[in-house]
Amino acid sequence: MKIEITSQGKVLDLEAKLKLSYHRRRIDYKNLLTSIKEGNSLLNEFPKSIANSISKRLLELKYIDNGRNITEDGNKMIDNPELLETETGAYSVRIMQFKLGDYEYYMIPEIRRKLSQQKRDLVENPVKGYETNNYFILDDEIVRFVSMNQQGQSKKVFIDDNPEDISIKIDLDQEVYEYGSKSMELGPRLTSKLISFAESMLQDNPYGGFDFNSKSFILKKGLKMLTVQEILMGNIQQLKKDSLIIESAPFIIDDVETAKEYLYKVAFSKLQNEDYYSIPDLNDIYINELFDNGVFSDTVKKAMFDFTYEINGFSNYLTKKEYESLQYKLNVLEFLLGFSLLEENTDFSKATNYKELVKTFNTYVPAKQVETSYIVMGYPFARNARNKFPEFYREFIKTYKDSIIVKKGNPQRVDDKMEQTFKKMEVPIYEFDSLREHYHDRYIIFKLKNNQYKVFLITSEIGQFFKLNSTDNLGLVKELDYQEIRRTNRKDNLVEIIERGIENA
Amino acid sequence: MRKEKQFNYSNDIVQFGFLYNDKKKSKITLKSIIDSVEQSIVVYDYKNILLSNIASEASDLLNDNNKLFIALTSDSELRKLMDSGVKTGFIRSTNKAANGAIIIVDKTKMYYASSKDIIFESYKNSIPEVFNYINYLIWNTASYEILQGQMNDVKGIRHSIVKPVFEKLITKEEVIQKDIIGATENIEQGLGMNYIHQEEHVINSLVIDPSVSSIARTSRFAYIKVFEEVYLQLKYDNCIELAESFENLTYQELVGKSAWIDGKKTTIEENLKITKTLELPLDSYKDFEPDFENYINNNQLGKYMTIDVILDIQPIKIDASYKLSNRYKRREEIIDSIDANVDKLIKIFEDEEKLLNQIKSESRIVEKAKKYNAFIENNESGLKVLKTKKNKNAFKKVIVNENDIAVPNEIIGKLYDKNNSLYFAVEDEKQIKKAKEFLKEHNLAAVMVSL
Repeated sequence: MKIEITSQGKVLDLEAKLKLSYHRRRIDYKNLLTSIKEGNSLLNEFPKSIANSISKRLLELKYIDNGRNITEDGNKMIDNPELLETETGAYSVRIMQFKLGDYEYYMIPEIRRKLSQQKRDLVENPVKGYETNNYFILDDEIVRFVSMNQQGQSKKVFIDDNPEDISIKIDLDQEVYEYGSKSMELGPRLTSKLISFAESMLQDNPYGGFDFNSKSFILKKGLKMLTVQEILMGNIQQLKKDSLIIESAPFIIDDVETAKEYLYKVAFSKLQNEDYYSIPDLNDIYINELFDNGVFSDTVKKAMFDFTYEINGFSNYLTKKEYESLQYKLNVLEFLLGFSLLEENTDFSKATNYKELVKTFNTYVPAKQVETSYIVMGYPFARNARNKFPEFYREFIKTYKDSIIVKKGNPQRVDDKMEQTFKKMEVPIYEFDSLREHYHDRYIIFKLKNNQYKVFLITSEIGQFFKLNSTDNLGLVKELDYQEIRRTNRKDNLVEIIERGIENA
Repeated sequence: MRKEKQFNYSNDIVQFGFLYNDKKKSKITLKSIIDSVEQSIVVYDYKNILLSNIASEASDLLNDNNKLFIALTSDSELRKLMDSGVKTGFIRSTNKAANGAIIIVDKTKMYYASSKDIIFESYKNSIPEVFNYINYLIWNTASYEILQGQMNDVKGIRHSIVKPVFEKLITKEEVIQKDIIGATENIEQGLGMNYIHQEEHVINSLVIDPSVSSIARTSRFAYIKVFEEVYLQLKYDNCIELAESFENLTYQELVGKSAWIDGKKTTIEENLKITKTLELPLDSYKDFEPDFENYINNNQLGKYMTIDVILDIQPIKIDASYKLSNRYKRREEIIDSIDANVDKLIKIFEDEEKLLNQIKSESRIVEKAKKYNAFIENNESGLKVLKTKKNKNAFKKVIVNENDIAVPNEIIGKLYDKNNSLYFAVEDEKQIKKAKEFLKEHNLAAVMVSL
């Protein structure tokens, strides 16, 4: 992502006798104090004489008290390890002067303790105030500006009457500005000023609003301005307004209608390719790939939790041209895939929880006959309130030990915590992308001790087999003939792809 | 030389069959089906019996975005459809073959076609099963597809579209339980072709296209094997070619008539003339007694009342495909090599010049080699001395097997090679005797041919 302000300005070169205050970063103090706070004695880390002089200095700075406890100031130093330094002398100061909106900025990027040889005019200081808190270069050190005051009565300074031009480049994403080859922090005051400026610039943008907290566009005008690529990527490629450029910034949808439009556009783009997705497939993609991908605001998520695609939705939310290009395929899909062929109830349909489901598997495939098993799923670890995969797996391995999880390589928002739990349990997990291309469905495969295989088709993710907070089934289980799992014109079948993949992993 | 024989089948008997007496097309036409489509047409036509016709004749249907055209055929037929410029519809290819074509209109009517003109309406109760089976093939067995004129590879399979359990489509065992009054031999073992019950024997009977591998009928329905060894129940009263069954008719009685014999539609014709030219060795072609039956193809049998086989028998003649035997070249090489060595020897053994010249002038090649070898042997010590001093070329003995290089006198004929076999070409048949003597003398085998 990039949020950049560019402008043209001038550099004033000013020389005078000054009192200069700045903050210096003292990570060494922070480390010492942290170590003391953790209960370590300096004597363990340093020779006695050095330990004593360090203690003395920390005491002077009031970071510790006589009892070697960290003081309030000490804690502040740990949180923000900056030490105020003040010095006086004759300085050569560079001041960047630029204008954004109605406001004129005077910002110091560099101060040198050595004066120039150049002849300058002695004039009244033209600069009344400076931006503070930004980092700048003091000789060769980068420190944070606090204040700069003239010594004595005189308000006159030596100034170069021929200020040079400079390009100003501010990166509001990283909150830094560029100076020479360096990029230095703007500091909170300047940042908030510049953000206010950027906000005023973005007040009326073609997408809606822009939120600097999340650094995202809040879409308020539908998706018409977005390209298909932008919709799929979940971010807006570029917005340029005068001195402001925003690139690759994510967008957030904060209203239900736009959210639906977004979902139908994503479905449109998926269906435009050679793939075929039924309405239940699209719902699966929605809940596992799109719902929690960061595009929806929390309000929208709440309202859209139970969203399901409908065939009529396409004509409502796509443009006329888009809909017409897809209409025939949608008709084909509705005609051929618009109903479930697995309506028949199997023994598995009677299960009301995973324990019963596994028990049913055991009546079909007794555990003692099983050598190993593969759970082949699209979204085993998807971050999704309905996903109860760990619950299923724990129940499953009580009967079928050391079951192997095979991911089909679907893109998804992974629940890191869930995945970590499985890693800690040292569950073997493999991912083979080619499976997704060749096999649309999900399977549980048992390799028996007699080298035979039993293959079961599951019509939903096994972790989402039951409706949320319900004992009703969302999916169905059906045993498949081993001959059925081979693709026409392919030498290898589902099991062979998996076993070869595991062997080569 | 011409030899001929006539085979006469006039009085051969065909045990069972049908004689077409009134060819009727189905009342149901492809056009009437196409015109009746309101929403969708699904066609499973592996052999492209009428799929191309639909694609070319149903342009109104195909151009209407609100009407679906879904088809399943074989890979090669799909390719042909693509090449013919099909721009609409959803067409996939499978490797699962079907007998005949199945058409489902609006999911409410189903037809079975064995040809463009023979279309049955199917009994309705099996429509869901057939539709589900086609749908299963579309998603689980397809290799390629055309969607609105775009041809693609089909990537994945979708097991959630499962193969239906057939209940309305029935097995052969179940068909046999019906009150069958006529069937092909596939239904009941050992009953012969086109079996018809005695009481049905004289009335008009059902006859169907050869693409149907198995059919049975009751008084109301026909059962045709469609795919996966299951039978589809069809109404047949309003369509089909009619024919009269017969028993024990001779070819003479059947000639010129369109008939159904041995499970095939056949017309027995009067006569077939098979003419062939044979080329045989010169010394035996006159005595050749052909087995005329060998010249009649299996597929010609049973289609003609008489078959004349006329053979023109010729001796084999030398042409450009024969090469003069290598023997002639090898002889030349041996003579040249001995003569060249003799020339060298004359320079070394000046005193023996006379003897050496005799070797040179010897015309009998075996004799020449023998004399040369004898000279080398007799003068071996002399040669050894010379070899070490200045002449390093060895004079080796020449081993000649007369049978390997023997060639006949040109007056008799010439030897040729072709495909590693030897041919003896003579100008005149009178030379055959001498040629054979030559071959015997040199223990050779060769095919006698004419020059």
